[in-house]
Amino acid sequence: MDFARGNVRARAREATRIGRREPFYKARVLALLLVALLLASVIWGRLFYWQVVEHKTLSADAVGQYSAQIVLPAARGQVYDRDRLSLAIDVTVYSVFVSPDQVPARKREHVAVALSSVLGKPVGEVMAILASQAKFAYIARRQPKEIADKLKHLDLPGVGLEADQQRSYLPGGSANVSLAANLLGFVNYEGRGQYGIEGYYNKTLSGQAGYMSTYRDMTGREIALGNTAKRDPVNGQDLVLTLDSSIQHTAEEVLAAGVQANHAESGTVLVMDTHTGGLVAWADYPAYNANDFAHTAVGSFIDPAVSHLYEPGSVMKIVTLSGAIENHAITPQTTIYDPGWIRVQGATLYDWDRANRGTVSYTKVLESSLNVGAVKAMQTEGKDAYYRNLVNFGFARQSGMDVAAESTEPLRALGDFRESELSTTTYGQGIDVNPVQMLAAVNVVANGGRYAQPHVVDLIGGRPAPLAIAPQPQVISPDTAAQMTTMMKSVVQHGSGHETRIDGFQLDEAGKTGTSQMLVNGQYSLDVWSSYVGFMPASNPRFTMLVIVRKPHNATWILNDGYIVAAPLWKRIAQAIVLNWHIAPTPGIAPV
Amino acid sequence: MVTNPNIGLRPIRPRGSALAGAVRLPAHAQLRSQRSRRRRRERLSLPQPATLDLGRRLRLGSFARVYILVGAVLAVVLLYLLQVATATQQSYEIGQLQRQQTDLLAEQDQLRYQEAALRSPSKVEQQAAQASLTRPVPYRYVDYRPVDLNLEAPPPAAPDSSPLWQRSLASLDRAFGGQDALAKGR
Repeated sequence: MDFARGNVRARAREATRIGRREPFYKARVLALLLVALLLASVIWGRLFYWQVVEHKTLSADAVGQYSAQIVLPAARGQVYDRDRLSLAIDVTVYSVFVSPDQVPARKREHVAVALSSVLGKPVGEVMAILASQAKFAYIARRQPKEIADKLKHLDLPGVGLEADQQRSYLPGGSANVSLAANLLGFVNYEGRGQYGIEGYYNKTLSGQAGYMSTYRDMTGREIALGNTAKRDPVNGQDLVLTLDSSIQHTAEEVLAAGVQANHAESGTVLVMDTHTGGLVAWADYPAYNANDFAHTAVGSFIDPAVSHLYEPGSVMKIVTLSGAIENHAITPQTTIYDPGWIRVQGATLYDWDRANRGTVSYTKVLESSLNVGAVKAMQTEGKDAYYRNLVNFGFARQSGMDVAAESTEPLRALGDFRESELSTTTYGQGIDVNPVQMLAAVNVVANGGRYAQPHVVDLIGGRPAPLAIAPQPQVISPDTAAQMTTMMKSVVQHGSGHETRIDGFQLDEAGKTGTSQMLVNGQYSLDVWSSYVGFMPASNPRFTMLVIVRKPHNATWILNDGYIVAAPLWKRIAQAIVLNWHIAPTPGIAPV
Repeated sequence: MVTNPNIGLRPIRPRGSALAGAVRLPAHAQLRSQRSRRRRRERLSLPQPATLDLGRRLRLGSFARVYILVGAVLAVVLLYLLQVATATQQSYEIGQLQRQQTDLLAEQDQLRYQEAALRSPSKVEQQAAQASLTRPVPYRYVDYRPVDLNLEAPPPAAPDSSPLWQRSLASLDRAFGGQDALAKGR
């Protein structure tokens, strides 16, 4: 009984003790739970971070490990001349690289000697690269296939080849120059067309690259039979130019010789198909080698034919007198009194020789290139009509030629011209044009009064280029054009164009010389632009040609004149065209 | 010793046969018994896996069954490996062909450029100079002079150029009807 009572008491004591400790136990359990929760939170947090926050990065990394996207490059379109001769072709070139750490030390010398003999590099230079223990180094870039084949045959350890595409151009008319370099431009190492046709038609020529998504194994090799998503590349379109390689070559050759013979700074020759406006030749000197553009001064890439402006000089009289005839202000037979000078708004403007010629006809004005006659024609015609005429002949806008980087100077508003300034523009001073604009303007006369849009691309991917089929607006009437043609024929037969007479065509050539002084620091200097523009056969013109020589430096000033410097070049190129195109004289042409 | 009183005491009898002298159950109890028997029968009639039957029929031990399973897995693995090896081989061959194609295309480009370069005016001129060819003397056009000649008119009859004796003979033949002589003369 006592035992039972004592037991009960003990139980009660124990219960009291437990009762007292219960909150402590609860706290411990809670603490443990909290710790467990904290640890779990850390894990959950990390899981959240990797699986939610970093999901995109990790999945992209995973995809990157087992899949590969291979770019399928599009073949760049080729550029052909009018006879389908390739002017620009993509060829495969090879960059030679080494992995120096893959070349055993005992074989270094052998590899260096072999590379040196094939690539023409100094042995010491190659040895220095091999001794560098670098992982990768280029030895030579963009080597031709013959070099690559030799290296493949040698099978050197640690030496590899990396294939790449390079645009190649044909050799041109003078040493170390590619054919029509300024016109064609080039393609840089990133595959983008720069300057000229390559720049203007870059999108058309380059096409659209395709791609292929494929899987690769652990070693990174492509699993060719794996599931692949593929988009085929769209190759670039071929361009057929209006250029005639043979005439282009002759023009380059003749121009280079002419510029050198006249100690000139540079020159440009443009030959246009009279009826279509297509450029047959486009030569500049100096030019550059588009195959070696990386070692060419950037300034050489600029094409003077469209990017340089010049004061055309007396060539502009063709435009002035055509407009005056069109507006019935003058006729070729109209006479004026020319004392050799004329005063306009306080300024005295002179003929080139300041000679008093007395009464002369407008035909004589053009033959002898008399500035006073041109000014008087404008005065008779009226400023508004003259200005409208300049606009109609295309001097108020770009020619719209399909080559990159054409520059023009906007024609000032009529009100912004002082009368003396407007008067000098009648004979081509104080007005800046680019050679293409000038040629297109003169071609209006040759083309029966219609403005033929100058262009150089005839077909794009086999279809006619938009410029090639552009409408030809009538600028002057066919009758005015015929009268001006007769006046220009007279220039060749009796005037300053005598240097261009070609056997069999003496009576059937039309032309005009031009010599304009250059403006240096606001003053006209003795440096000149010498030019000659003409077309033939005059009765049914096949081509219109403009020759410009910049800053000829002959013994005397008169020897730098257009008829001495530019006209003989015009004649040599014209003779080549006559032979090349089998142009025969028109029978029964009477002298003017 | 505790024994199960049911062991060895239960009489063996064919299923469904009535036991002679068995206690006759009431009608509702009999019906329940029939229902349960029917359910048992239905359960037994379910289709059994053939392998069990096959294993039982072939009298395969449990080890043999494991061996077969491992063998089957191995065969599948081998087949997979074979397929992977074939794919790798084909992938390698495709790679080889692609490299060959690239080489051939590079060569084609090279040839195309060479062809164009050979046709270029510059090269033609160079070759001509090497072959000592020179440009012809400057051409000269002959003056056009109209001639009084009717090109549309029929050509005049050609004069007879045969010898005199032949002409005499022919006239004699003609006079005396010699068709053969005329034929010879043509």
